[in-house]
Amino acid sequence: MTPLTFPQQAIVILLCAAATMLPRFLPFAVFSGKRKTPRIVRYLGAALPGAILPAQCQLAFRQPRRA
Amino acid sequence: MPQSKHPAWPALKAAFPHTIPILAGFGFLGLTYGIYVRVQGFSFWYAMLTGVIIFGGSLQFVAIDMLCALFAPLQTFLAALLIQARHLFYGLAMLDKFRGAGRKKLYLIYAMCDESFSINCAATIPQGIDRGWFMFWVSLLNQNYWVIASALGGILGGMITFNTEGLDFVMTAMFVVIFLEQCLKEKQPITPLIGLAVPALGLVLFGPDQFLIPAMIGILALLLALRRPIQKAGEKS
Repeated sequence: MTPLTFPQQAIVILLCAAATMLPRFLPFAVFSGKRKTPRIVRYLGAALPGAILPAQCQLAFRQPRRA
Repeated sequence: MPQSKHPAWPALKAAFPHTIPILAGFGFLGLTYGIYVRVQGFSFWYAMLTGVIIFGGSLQFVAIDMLCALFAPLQTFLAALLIQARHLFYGLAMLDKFRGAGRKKLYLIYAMCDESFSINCAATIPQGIDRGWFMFWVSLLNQNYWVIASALGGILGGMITFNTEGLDFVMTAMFVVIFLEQCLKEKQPITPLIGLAVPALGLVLFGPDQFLIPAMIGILALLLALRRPIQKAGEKS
């Protein structure tokens, strides 16, 4: 069983949530709708899926426990 | 009677079949997670709520280990960030696709796990189906499979033992299918080749636990360096 107090447990879980949401939200926060997205970023957005999806396959073969 | 249905319902019908491999995969993986949480001495609420608050499978397993270790907030945050940094690239790839999703966009970003990203990134959405609602349902269904299965595993806990080894292969197979579909859509072979070669090299150099971040950086660097040939090859066909 855990040696942590309940507030300490809550902090650990919230820190894990923050570490998940930071990389998920950051690109959208930086390149928000108002300003025009730089062309290099638009290029990356179009080119990345073709390269990320095979990378994900290899990750899936290596680390089965994930979501 | 209104002439046309709300766009959400046809989108749900179109989205559900795409999530069936996840229903199977998250079903068993969620059960495993819930049982793990229970065996470590926590109530099923921990299994369920971490699926809502964190929603990232591999980190959730690690988070339970962190709850059983000594309290080290900074270490916890940095370790978690290393596990989740890959989502930066998912966001970059979805910048355009999430545009126009309205208020649903916030949920789409929050719930962008590997599986939902992969489906939403590559799916060919039928004509007449609302793109935002389609992606919303994919994400919501997937998260529900995970959270419900985690809760069930937490409730059943030690009562059942069964071997789930190999069952999550259904999701590995889905990733392969999605990748092959994406290859058919790509107008040039360079980006899929980069995505195959760089992580493979990373696996050799860094091993299975450390390869992902160097691989992502390598992919980014190569995409930037080869921008011109990639764009040219894409225009040609």
